[in-house]
Amino acid sequence: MHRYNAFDKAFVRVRNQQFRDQVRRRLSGGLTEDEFKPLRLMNGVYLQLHAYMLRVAIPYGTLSSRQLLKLADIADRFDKGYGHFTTRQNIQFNWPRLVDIPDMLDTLSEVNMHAIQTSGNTIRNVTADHLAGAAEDEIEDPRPYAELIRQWSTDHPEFQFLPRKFKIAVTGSPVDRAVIRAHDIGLELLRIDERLHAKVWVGGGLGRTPILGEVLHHGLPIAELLPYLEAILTVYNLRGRRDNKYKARIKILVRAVGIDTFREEVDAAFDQLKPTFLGADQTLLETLRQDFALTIDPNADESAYHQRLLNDSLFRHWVEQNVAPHQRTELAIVTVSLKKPGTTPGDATSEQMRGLAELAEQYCFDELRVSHEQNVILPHVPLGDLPAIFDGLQRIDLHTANVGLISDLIACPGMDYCTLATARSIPIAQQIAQRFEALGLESTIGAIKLNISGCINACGHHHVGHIGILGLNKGGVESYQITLGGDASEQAQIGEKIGPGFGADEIVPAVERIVHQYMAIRHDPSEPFIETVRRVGTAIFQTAAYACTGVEASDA
Amino acid sequence: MLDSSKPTLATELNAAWANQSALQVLESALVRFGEDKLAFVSSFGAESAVLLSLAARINPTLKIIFIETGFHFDETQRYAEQLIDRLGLTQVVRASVDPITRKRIDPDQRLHRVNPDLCCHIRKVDVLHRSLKGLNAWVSGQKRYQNDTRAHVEVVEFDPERDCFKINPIAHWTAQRIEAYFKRHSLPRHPLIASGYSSIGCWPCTSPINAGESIRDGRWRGQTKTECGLHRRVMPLHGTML
Repeated sequence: MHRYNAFDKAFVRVRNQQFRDQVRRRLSGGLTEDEFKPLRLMNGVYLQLHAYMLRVAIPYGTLSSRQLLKLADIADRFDKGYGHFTTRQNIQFNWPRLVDIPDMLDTLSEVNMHAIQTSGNTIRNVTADHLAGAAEDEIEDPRPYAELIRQWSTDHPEFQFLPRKFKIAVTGSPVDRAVIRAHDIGLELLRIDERLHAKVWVGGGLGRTPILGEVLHHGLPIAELLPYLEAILTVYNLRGRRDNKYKARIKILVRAVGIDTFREEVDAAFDQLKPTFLGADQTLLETLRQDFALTIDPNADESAYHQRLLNDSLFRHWVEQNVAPHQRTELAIVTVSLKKPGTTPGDATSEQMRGLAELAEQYCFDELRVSHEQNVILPHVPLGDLPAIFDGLQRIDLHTANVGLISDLIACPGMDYCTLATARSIPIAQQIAQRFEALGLESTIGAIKLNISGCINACGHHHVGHIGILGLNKGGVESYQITLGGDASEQAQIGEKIGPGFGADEIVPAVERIVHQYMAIRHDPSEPFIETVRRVGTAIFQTAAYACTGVEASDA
Repeated sequence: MLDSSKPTLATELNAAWANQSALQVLESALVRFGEDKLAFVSSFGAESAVLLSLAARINPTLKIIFIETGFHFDETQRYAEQLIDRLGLTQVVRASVDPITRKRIDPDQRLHRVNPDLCCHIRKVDVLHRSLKGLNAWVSGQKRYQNDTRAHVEVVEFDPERDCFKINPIAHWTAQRIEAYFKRHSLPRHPLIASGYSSIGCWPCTSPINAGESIRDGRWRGQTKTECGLHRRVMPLHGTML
């Protein structure tokens, strides 16, 4: 795994000292909230409905056991004993006192973590496929490239005051698990004539104006990655709108000027910038590739796995649902669901974090991942250790076997925490998960992605959920709008709105009617929900959703 | 512990047991190979009740391996429950492909459409292979009359891939004799027989037969494939089939 060097450590230490002083001045009244706001936003500190919130980056979703243990300690010492994994491979602490935040940041720095650029109009935490370095279908581990981008973008002097926030995601597989087309820049590593290149997508984003990224470059030689990214950011920095916050993302610029004009401008900037990159980035990249290489020698005895399958059907069910093949046949990828029905999607208690850290240390070569789907992954588990992992997860109540099923849903914090929210997300998520669990239908329904956002900013990625739910406020009442046919995969698609919103007490039955409709009309159980929607369109589901509500879909 | 004496022993035992009754063969096999080192393998299909009934008459606690492919008809599942209950079988082991191998080779569960041989291989052949590890012998209900491939089945054979003896106690039984056994012992029928099915496997690859067709003609209809591979030499999982 990649480790900080002395420069990184000194840099973070100085930043934390600066912020400690800023907090001191805010608390003593030397700074007003207006003056303090841009300073705290440089350091991942938000002010939510009930408290401050600290957002900590987990670059490309990769954590060591030691880091997760430290997150657990922070949750206990400075928060309410839990943390929340977000849809962008961050962890959020929801209840810190401002006076404690400098200590939290110092504690994080002990394990090479920080909150720099997790807010503000900067290049945010670089995300990646959470199965990087483990997925069977992978062409190249994206993390060395994500780390290279992280180092380049962190405290980049040109890009601290962009028109708006900027998100980059990287995948090294043709199977997209990083939702690259919903990012300002999405990168897909691929081979052309056996040489590594990046396909570059630009101008994707969800929020109030959902747009899928367009291809800016079909095959960028990998050595040109940083100058090309710098060229994109330079054009955006100059040309992106600063007069209107809602028109400031790069997607609006790309759409306004057109992808071809945008490409010409990027190419011109690239020609100027390329000579300024003198090769240090390539030297670093070589080191990073070595840092991330998987050099382990796992125990090859699989007998405990096969034995347990024979006599424990709960174990078999869990493996069937939550464990995936690894690129090395003696290993498997375990997804730990943070979606037990009734709990808050993405929340983990400090005890659970400690349990996971211990399991990773003992059975997974000290490595964990967090996914934008708000789960934790143990990426390299020897098959023979799967029973021990399952037993360990049972002890911390994290053995829910629902990965990829309807209760494995994505939800933003919504009005329970967020100042921007117009409706609650968490209670709706809980009700849907509990409803389908009670019906006992989840396995029969099969693979389906349901996403909930509590406002149009779309942190719950509802536009790309197979079923998307958007919580709005209509005249003081919560109203939940359904979109269908969204897709976050390599077949990315923005979902289609099916009609007027449902009340908080109506939304769960409406989802249930849609799912029942799907089961009635699917070809056979191997046709997943999204394929049925693609095959028949949304009209038949729309009819089902509004059946017995007295509302006409056309009222929208 | 594969050695050249085992095929020879199989030939000798076959010569000695070939003319014995099915019950006698089974009793001899249990003595010869050990009760805990022998397993019956059943699909709980159209004629499976006969072999299961023979097993139960000797000892209902004998080990029965039911290969659970994940694609059995609901009717087969209900029939299995019915037979287990009726015959009082106490050790029916449902064996199935391990989920990780299944996901590696057939992630979307549609392999049966494009490569039924490989589908049978991971869901049946490889599963049986693993289930028989450590056993001396397995018992099958193959009959010679079923099709050409099975026309030369012996009562005792040696299965070199699994290093295991294979006993086919009703190899020489005819369709009429099977029918008579069902009647004499009042055994329940597989519910799909009434719908025209005469040989019953997984639902994607099994269809009813028409008048004049042979009993296994409804399996892998429209393909040259006639057997799943359980009853012939197995191929290694990571060999040429992949």
